[in-house]
Amino acid sequence: MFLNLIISFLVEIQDFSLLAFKAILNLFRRPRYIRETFEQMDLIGVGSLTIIILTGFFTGGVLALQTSSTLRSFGAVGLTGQLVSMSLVRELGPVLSALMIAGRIGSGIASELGSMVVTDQINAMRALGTDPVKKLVTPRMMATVSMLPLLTAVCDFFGLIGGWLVSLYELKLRTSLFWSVAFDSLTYEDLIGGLGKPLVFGFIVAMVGCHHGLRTWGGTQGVGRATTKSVVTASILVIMSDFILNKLIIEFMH
Amino acid sequence: MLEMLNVYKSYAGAPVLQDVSLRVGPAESLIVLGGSGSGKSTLLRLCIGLDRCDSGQVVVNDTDISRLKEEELIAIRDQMGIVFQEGALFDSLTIRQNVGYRLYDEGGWEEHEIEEIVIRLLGFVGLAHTIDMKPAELSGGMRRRVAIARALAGQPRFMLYDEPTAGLDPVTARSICDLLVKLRDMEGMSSVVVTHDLNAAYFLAEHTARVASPGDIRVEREPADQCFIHTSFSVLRDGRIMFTGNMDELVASDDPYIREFVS
Ligand SMILES: Nc1ncnc2c1ncn2[C@@H]1O[C@H](COP(=O)(O)OP(=O)(O)O)[C@@H](O)[C@H]1O
Ligand SMILES: [Mg+2]
Repeated sequence: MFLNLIISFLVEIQDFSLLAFKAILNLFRRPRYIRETFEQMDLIGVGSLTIIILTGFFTGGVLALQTSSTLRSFGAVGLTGQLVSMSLVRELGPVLSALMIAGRIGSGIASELGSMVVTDQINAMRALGTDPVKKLVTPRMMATVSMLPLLTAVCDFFGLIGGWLVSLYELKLRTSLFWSVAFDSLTYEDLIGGLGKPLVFGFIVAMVGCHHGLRTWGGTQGVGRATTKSVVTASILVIMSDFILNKLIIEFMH
Repeated sequence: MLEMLNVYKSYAGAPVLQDVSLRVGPAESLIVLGGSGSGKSTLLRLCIGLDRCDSGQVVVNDTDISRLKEEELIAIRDQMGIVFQEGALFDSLTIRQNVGYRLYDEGGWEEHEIEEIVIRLLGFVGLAHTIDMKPAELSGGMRRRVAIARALAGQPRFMLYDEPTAGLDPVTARSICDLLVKLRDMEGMSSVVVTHDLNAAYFLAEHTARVASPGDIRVEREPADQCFIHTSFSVLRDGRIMFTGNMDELVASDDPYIREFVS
């Protein structure tokens, strides 16, 4: 029983790696399905702007509110901008964006591919001579990987705006003080980490969604199961890999 | 030509097909009768290489496809068309894009060439007016007819039908059977039809298509002396082929399961 669980877990990891490998390999093979990739980029990028903007804006606002009281006790309210920008760009922007995208895009990918599996559309596609990994997985992977860093930058930016508005109206800080401190405190390291990590997160979210979608079994119920699984797995993997990536960045940059 | 030799298939240790052998020659039709869960859909998936058998051979035109790689199978699948149980049309595409799917995907076709082929195929299945619709707007019978048109776009020599009439009213089922008969008799298309619909099976065996006058193809009951020349039957029960023969032999069989099934 326990052994079976371990074996099926290992088999799943193997399947996942194989799918990820094929998806990447397809980038160098024809046909390339450029149109599908752009469609997905539009769907993922433009389609997620609203939730990303809202997430960033309110997170930035909350950060300013929360940190100001601590800073005030040290007489350093002026550093609010630094705290907001560093927390956002380093951690909260990438991770929150990735989690939102896991919820919105990862689940969408899993349910779309899952319903294609249970209605035989994937089999029909193969029977008509198309490789579903090429046509469905690679474009989604490419689109998510390229869009998530952009969305993260948007999230960071609106987070700063949220933080600035709170600083201006609640903390009565000067606008110039907030922005100069916010930008001055950012290092290259922060920017590289902050926009590099989303590449990895995007890959995780898209591939986990595709993996669970394509493994769907058991009718409509199975589609629901695959969707839930993909969101849970992707979210956990994002947070775990965030830890590992931070560790790596610290190792290599110092 | 399609041949299966001693094919075994199991899913997660549960046997689904056991020692299945069958043979379909050029312009012949094989009807596989079987209850639900007897392994009919699995059998069709093996025929076109969507699934791999555990042992045995699946031979398509002298090539054993059971050990081929996915890339190598593509050439084999070019010669075959499959119509899935509920049609399996692509939800996100229009009927035009569905029927022309293979041509759009292959590339190298002019837009107007594809348009011509799509219109001709939709005309053949009697659904030319649906060209700009989405699959969700069509009824179950229409979807299956579109699926037939889509499979024909690659000019296959071989068609596989998974329960083409299941869940349809008699009139719609009849229109699908007419199409199958026309393809078999007019185009010389080989086919495997798996079904539990005995009426449809008998209809296919007893009817023939002929050109009554130019442009007017009739599907008529065959004269008794010519009956069953191109249609044979197999009965699949719990993953085993338990009968192979023509319709007379099927009707005359005294096996209790077949008696139960055909009565
Ligand atoms: N992909 C699969 N994974 C596990 N079991 C399957 C799979 N496909 C079919 N089966 C099992 O094989 C048996 C036969 O299925 P199927 O070929 O769909 O039968 P039919 O089409 O005659 O109803 C069923 O018991 C089904 O549960
Ligand atoms: Mg079936």
